[in-house]
Amino acid sequence: MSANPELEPQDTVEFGSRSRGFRRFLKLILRDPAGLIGLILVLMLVIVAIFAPQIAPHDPLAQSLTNAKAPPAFSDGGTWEYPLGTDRLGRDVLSRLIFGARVSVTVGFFGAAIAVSIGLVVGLIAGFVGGKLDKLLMSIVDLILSVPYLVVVIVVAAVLGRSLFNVVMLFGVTASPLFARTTRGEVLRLREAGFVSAARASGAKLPRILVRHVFPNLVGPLLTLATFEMSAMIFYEAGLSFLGLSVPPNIPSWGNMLDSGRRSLFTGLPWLSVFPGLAIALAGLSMNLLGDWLRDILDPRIRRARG
Amino acid sequence: MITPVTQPSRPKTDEVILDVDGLEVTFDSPDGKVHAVNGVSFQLRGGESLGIVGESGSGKSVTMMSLVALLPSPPARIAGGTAILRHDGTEMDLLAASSGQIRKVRGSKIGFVFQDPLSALNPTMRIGEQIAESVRKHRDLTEDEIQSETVSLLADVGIADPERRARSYPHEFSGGMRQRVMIAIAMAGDPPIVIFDEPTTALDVTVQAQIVELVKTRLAAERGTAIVWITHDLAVVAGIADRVAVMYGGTIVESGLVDEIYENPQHPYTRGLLQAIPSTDSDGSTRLASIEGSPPDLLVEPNFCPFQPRCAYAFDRCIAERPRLRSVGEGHLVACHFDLERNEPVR
Amino acid sequence: MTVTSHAHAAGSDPPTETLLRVDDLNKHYPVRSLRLFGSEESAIRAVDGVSFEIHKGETLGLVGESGCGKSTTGRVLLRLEEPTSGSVWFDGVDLSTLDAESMRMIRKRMQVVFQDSADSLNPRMSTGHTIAEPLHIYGMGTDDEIQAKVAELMELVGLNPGWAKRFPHEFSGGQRQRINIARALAINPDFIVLDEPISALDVSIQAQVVNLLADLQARLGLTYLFIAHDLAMVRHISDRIAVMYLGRIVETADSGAIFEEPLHPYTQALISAVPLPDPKKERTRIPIVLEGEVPSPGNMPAGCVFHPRCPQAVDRCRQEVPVFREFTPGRFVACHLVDEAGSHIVERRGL
Repeated sequence: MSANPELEPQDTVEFGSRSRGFRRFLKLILRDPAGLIGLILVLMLVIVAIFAPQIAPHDPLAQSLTNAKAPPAFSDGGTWEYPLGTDRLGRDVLSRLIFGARVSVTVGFFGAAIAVSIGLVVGLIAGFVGGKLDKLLMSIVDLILSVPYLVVVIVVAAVLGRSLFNVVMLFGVTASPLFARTTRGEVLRLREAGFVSAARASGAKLPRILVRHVFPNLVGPLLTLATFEMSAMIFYEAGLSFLGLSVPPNIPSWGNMLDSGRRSLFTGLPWLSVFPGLAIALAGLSMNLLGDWLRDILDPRIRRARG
Repeated sequence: MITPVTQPSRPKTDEVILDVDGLEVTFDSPDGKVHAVNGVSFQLRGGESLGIVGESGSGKSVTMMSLVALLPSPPARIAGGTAILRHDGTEMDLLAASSGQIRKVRGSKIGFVFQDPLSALNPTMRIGEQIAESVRKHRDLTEDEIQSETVSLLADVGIADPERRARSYPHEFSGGMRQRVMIAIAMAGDPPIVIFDEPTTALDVTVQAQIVELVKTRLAAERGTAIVWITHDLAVVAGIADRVAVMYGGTIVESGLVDEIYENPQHPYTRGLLQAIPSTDSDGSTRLASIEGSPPDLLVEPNFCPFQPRCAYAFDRCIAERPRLRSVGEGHLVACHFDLERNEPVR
Repeated sequence: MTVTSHAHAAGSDPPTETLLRVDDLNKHYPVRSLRLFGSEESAIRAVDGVSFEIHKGETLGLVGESGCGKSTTGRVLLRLEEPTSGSVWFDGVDLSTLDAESMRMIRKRMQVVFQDSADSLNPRMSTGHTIAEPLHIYGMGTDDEIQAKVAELMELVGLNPGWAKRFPHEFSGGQRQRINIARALAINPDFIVLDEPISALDVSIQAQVVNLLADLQARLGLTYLFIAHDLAMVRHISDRIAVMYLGRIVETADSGAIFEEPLHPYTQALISAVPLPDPKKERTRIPIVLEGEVPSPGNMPAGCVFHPRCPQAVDRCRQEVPVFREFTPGRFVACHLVDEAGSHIVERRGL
């Protein structure tokens, strides 16, 4: 700060450009190896899921009894035709893993998207309107939180049949209270923030305050929470698949692969359960790494902690 | 203005009880090494009150906290220096001491009172128990004696109805009363030195007056405790300190007797600071003399004068070389390449 | 508390024009304390019958200790919070009679700068956007004009216009406060509430900001309400000072008079408690130490709210609320111990 700021030659004053934000993002991610690994793994997972038909070497459902129980390529008797081996019906494990990623990614992303959407709307209304409506909405939220979701899943699977759609909807709804609470808490905090008071003093109306001051500050906490929730949903889905409560058995998912491989774990076919297990663990880990990193860089309190 | 009612239990001496020499503290941060304290040296004599004045980032708190190992390490690191504590005929270097030795020093040799008493007190424990715990740790007394000592400490720090208030919890006390409790805890081990880190910054001015009065009478005058008072407030220091050290950018830029510093400041920063603050007894018609510029960037290796970018007297030597403390009068030290008295560079 | 004459400004006094007048302003927060059966309603009287006026071009200092209601007063008169009762007149208009749209247009002339410079800036908004926001809200100018205006404002407050792209965390506390001031100035207000604008800043930076505020006032003819607890700074910047205690104003006078001849016992104690940056004077200063603690605004003492802590209280103080009235021109005090001539009837101790 100086009384006579050195004036830089400039034609127009541009307020904050996107490229600057992107460069900052790059700088921050390159400085944190764990976050970088998380981000790369998550991106790989998404790419694999989207381009599964192009990437997978085989049809994940194609059975071939002649090639059944082939071990992975790197062990004795393995062939590069089936890099991660085949199962008891001769289906390619790698291709099934690649297609299984679709289930996990769908559940994670759409489940989180639904949870964020519901939670954001409920949280904003509860936080801004307050009063009786706030109390009512928060009671509903508590109610949802208190329902044991496993019971609901079993009932839904029994009544409506096993489908990915049901699982996604169910995960979205059951996770939405977390987002509603976070949003409400942030809204209550932001409502009292000095910059919102300053904007009101400058004559800003509610829509502007929402769009310019509240939403941008909700992105950080919600994105962080969503990343952690995605990881949790991938785990839960695998668990449900394992129990046979998620997708139908003809769709490959990491959970049902794990389930069918489980019986062969000690009978000479360990790869049938080890690889899906690794995939689940890696997906969860990468999202947690990304979430940790996001929480650190998006929390201004942590960033400001210097000096 | 304070006339000790009783003879202090520890008379003021010329004996140096704390001798800090060349203290350096750095912090590791994502942006690089923060040079928080760069070669701080000072001496504290028995029973005296030393005011350490500085703005945020001047290193005043870090200096004192590093002496009793209260800095989290990592990221903090003592990069150099010694801090000799002399008491009861023993001598020890606080910076080289083991954590067990330091723990014994805390409370019994050096007491600490922080800015925020609420976070320093345990919210689930009664006030009396927290003071008793400190008494128990430092004195060999029976349980009954501890209880009566606790009550008398509370009475000493001006808490009315101490028997009853000893059973209160911290949240039932106001900010000023909590600070009194902190002082009672610091007094429990009867240490020869008590360090106050911005103890009144969060308090209202009338409460601040009460706390300052309490420290001056109960600690300094009656017990002869040496006081180190860390603050950014030059007015508070004027009333409490015998000597003052002014810190800037992790170094002491000037130190001396309080009257000398206020009447005859020899560092451009001290001079600027004194001209930048208004006083309630002078009318506001004159413009404040402000120090332009921003506080120093502590990420830069400090091999120049930290005040040089904001200094009106700066010349090439101030960038090339860090000034050392030099004597400009009896006990008056200043770290500046420019002689303000003669209005010319030194030598 | 009755409201007394506001007439002195309109009378034969120097031609001071009143810009803002606050009449018996109250802000009570209901608190519901749960009982075994049902609940009990009571009120926290954060602002309790406050009246003052601010003349065009002057600075009124509003001082008091934490919880005295000074910041709430500022927020209520900006209508950031609705008053429980009472009225605020701005340039001759009673704000309580205005509809939302007219209020918005008046609000354009009243701005605010808060204490916490970091909290008052949206961390996700660049400096340029922040300063430009009020201009966009009121549709003042095309995008190019607004950009030019932002650059001009940044220079006015001593910031490099090239920094418009930067975000709040890239600035120091003093610089952020300059951004807040630039935003407040964007729509050419007449009146700015400065709510502890320098309390969080370092000493050497405080002087910079205070000088900037003084320069801007002289240059733009601004009127300030300066809310603060640092009495030395308040004396420096204010023409007149109002002292608050427990939701009420206890004394208002020219700033010199408040410090040299404080009439209310609370003002006397407050001023005597302020340390002086001079060791010689400090040795002779005798603070009037107030006993006890400030009562809770939810449980106000009867009579004069200050009587439980007042070193001079008499029986009358415990029973009767003192009227806040004008003793000598421009000097209002709420104390039973001040006689008609405007001097204290009890010998002041200590000073």
